[in-house]
Amino acid sequence: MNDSQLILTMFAAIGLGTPLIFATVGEIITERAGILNLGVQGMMLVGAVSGFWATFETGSLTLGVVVAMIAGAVFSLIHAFASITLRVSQIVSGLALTIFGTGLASFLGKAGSDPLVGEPSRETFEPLITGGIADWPVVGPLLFGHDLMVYVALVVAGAASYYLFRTRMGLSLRAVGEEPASAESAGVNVAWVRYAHVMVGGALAGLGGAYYSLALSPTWQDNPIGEAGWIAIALVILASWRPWRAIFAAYLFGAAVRIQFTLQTLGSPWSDVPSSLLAMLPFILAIVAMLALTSGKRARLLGAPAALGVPYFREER
Amino acid sequence: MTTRRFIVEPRGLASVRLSLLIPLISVLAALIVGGLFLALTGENPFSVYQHMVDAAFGSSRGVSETLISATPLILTGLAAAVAFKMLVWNIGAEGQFLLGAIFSSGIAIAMGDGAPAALVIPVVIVAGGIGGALWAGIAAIPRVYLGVNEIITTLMLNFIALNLMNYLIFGSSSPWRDPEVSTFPTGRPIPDSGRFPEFFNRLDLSFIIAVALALLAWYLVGKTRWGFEVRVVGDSADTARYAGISVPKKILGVFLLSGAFAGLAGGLYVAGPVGALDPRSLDLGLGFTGIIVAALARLNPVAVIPVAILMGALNNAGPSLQSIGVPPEIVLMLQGAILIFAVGGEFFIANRIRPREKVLEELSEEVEAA
Amino acid sequence: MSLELRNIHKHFGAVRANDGITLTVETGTLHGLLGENGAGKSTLMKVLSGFHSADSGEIVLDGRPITLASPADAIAAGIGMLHQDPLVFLPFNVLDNFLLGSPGTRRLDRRAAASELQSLCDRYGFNLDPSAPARLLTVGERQQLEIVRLLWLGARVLILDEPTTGISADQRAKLFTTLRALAEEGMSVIFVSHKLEEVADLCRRVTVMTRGKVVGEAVLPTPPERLVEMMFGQAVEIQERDDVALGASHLTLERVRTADGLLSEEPISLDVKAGEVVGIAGMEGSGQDTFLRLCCGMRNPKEGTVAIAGRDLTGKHYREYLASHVKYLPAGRLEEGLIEGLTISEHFLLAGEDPGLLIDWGSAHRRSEEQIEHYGIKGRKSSTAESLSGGNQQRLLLAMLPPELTLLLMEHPTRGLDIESANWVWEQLLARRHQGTSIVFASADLDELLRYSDRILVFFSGRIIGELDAGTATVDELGLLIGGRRSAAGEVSS
Repeated sequence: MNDSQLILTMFAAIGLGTPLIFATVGEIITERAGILNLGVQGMMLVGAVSGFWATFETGSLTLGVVVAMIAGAVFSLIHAFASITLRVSQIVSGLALTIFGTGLASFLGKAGSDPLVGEPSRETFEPLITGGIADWPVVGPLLFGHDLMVYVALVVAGAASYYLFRTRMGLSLRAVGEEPASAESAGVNVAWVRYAHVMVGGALAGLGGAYYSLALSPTWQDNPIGEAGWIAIALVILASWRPWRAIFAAYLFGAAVRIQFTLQTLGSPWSDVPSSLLAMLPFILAIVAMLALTSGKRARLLGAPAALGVPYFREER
Repeated sequence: MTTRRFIVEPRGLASVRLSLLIPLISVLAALIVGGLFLALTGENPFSVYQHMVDAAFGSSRGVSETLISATPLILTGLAAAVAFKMLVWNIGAEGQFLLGAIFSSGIAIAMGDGAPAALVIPVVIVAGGIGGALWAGIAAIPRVYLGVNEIITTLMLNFIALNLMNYLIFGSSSPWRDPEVSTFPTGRPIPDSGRFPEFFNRLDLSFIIAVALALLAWYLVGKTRWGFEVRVVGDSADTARYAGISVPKKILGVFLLSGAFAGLAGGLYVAGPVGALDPRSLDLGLGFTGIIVAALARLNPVAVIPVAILMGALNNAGPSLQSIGVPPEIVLMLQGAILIFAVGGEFFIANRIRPREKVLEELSEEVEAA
Repeated sequence: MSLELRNIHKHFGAVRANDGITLTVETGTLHGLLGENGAGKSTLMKVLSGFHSADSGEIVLDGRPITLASPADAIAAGIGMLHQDPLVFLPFNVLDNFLLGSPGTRRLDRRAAASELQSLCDRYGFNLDPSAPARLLTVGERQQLEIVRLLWLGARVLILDEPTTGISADQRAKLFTTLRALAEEGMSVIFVSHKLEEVADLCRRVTVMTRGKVVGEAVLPTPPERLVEMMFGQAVEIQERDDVALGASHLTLERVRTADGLLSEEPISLDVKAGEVVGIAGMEGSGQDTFLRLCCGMRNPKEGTVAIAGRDLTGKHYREYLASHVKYLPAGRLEEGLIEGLTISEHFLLAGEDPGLLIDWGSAHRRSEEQIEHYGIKGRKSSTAESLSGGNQQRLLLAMLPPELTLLLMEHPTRGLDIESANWVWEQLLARRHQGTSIVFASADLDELLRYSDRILVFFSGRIIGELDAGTATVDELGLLIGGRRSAAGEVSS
């Protein structure tokens, strides 16, 4: 692999990792509140289609992003209601969200007399800076050559870290995810905190989805996100529930995806490495992380919220 | 002094009437939601639904195709039902399904065309079950002996299995890949001796086997000591321990059985209607649909059969909608909505909500009576 | 701040946890709330701290009725609760725990909080390092952290639920000093405990609860026998018992000690003969349950041997004990002995020793019908366990006992039963003695202990503090021993 290909791969990895940062940070925030939401894939797809549609109708990227986030948040309310108010199985409810969201996104993309499918986006995210510092060798494109959302993702991850560890609300949030009963007795409104952060997770997943349909593959197609939602769930573990680590996990995964293409261009023997085996990597890593760090008492070392996935009912005896 | 106007209390025993009614309401509610979206996009929901019913049940071909679609769903539904009953969250039916398919097709290809069908078919079926159980074991053993959460591991194993299948067909010249097709790789056809005999249009033996396995599962859970002990462990692991039941062994057994059902689904599907390890025909989310089946059947193995036929009918009717210009994905939406309502409905089956005045009245009546 | 609870009712399903509680706590008092586990103290305190909403009743603070819909409301009203297991977030450090739920701006001002923490600690003589991880704190230190946190939040009523469980004597002394100081500053302190001596030592007034009701109030000091009597009930005259000739040893403990916790200090030796009934007395949590678990292999001793009918089973699994005809009936009837959702027939199936692969439902139903008839269980074979009343649940548990029984271990065999059911239960149990079954039971009912035991072992903080012959012992003797005072043998303490 020569230098230029290395830079190309790294550059692409950052782009491919960006939507995963949004979705992973969102899921981290949701899980930190003690709610496991397996509906990420569904929320991302709903965000992807609604963001694409809004931009398609108005020509405004800003509006597309805002609509995607609102759609993701509203959609996540289904899961919040089922798991927080009705206290039914979070696992099944999350899966339902994914199945429904996948169907809904495809349906909306194809329905009506003038369907979205096959239409290119009216606006797409373009690099912020062209020329100048973005043309510096090596660091120019890598640091300055991206579109706005790449930098927004970094800010979101940083802000989420600050929020979790430096603000009053973040403290309450982590307390709710650890021991809801204790948090309640400390005066925290557990249900409110959980609702709010499931919705934050939904909004970020929606934003991540919109990045696919407005930047990475800006022509509407069925499922523009691949398996990104599931990968985000794996990345939460690899990031051990810390938002800033999600950046590295997501870029690493972006690189793993991109490297499949790079290897093809390099010819033998590189091109003989099967891409499907590379595609397994994040999932294998997630399982290894689970096995190494969550068996028995060591689960706490990893940073998993203690009350993750457990319904909370104050009036229980 | 308090502001709560309603009291939510767990019901002692779920009412039989409600446990039949709530799934029906779930389906109706999902149809209404789907209908709203159809109406919003300018379709007439009634004619769309009519078209779907016709496609799924309107002809003998339609009925047989519906049953073909239902076959793997019966088994993945069973996989979810037996596991969830014991609070084993195996959401890896998808991957176990694929491993079953890989094992079954592999053994059929390895035995070749020369072996007698009477030998190959049983071996193919068993291999599917073993493949699924082994794949489930990767998550089951850490869960039982190390306490590693199975939700994430089974989920991740789905994607590893999917990529493994893609590797066997697209990424290598494995025995599963058809050597004669070079343009777009496909699976090597399973020799005729490993294929199931068809008896009703394309419907083959696999449907009968799936129904028989559902009845067997019902018998196993409801009528055998093992099944009984499994239910006790699922209800209360502590009590099971006091009664001298080995809890880890039971959980492991259920987990592997669940994997075996999913693997059988994959095995029967390749040796039945598909006929080869063909990624495009196998990556349909049948494992996840099985979870919908199990939830709507309220984890009852016999109820899994009609629910799987309902879901199979939806899957079968989907593609036909294209002819009237409706996106077939309405089916996925309906299934997702059914699952949302079914899981939400569990709350109303398990709890009752009454105005507080009424609860208090009843309490004071009890006091007077005593 | 004065606090009044008026006619509080709270039920869970069929259980009336609080049945018309009325209680007044004056400003600046240390008020004890005494009662056995399950008396309803914790439920009452959860109602008072906003965790549970009462079915009916009133909470009045300084003459004003208040509404508590959540713990946040209670804190805003000035009511702070210190839970039995201090609710400290272990992954957080001390300062973050202190900050939780605190007033102030959105951003956490850790510096200001640290100085506030320091000044509160200085005031009460605590020594807490703000940056230390909470998981390294002892239980006593966690309590100190909780107390300063609640004070910072402006608590003027402080509830402590069983605060002395798991803390050292030094820490307890320090806690008591702090509580006295707080009361002098005008804080109303409610001290919830089942430990009589602590309430007697600390509090000025005491309210005694049993079975969801207030059964007595007293200004301290008051003779401990009176409090024991309120808690354990009046013992009636001892009746004639039909004596059973004792047989060979059925349970033999030799110098048994656990690795940690209760029963780790003094080794226990005991020999129970066939047909003998041994009562275990003591305040809740003095080591009785650990002891019973040691006798059936649910817990393994660190030292010493356990033998059943002469066979050494030390370190063997619970299932080996079951095979040797030892049966353990834990206290929570529904939680541990019976299974919600399973029918009576299914319970008999579970209890049966049928090793077959298939279930013989016909014989299971027949057996359950016979047993329902024989034990007078008010229910049908398809009734689920939770639909039965407490007495009938107990009858079902008794009916499930295997026919052959060497040793029966029980906790609170008649707790919550009416007198008629309790008498019936004991009739059945005592009949077993004739077949040679030995019975060891823990109870919090003096009458039950004296009436049915041959001898009584009294546990006090993890040790057997005395052994009484139930035939000659008096209620006062037993009451004093339970309270931790040895007077029977003249070894007067206090």
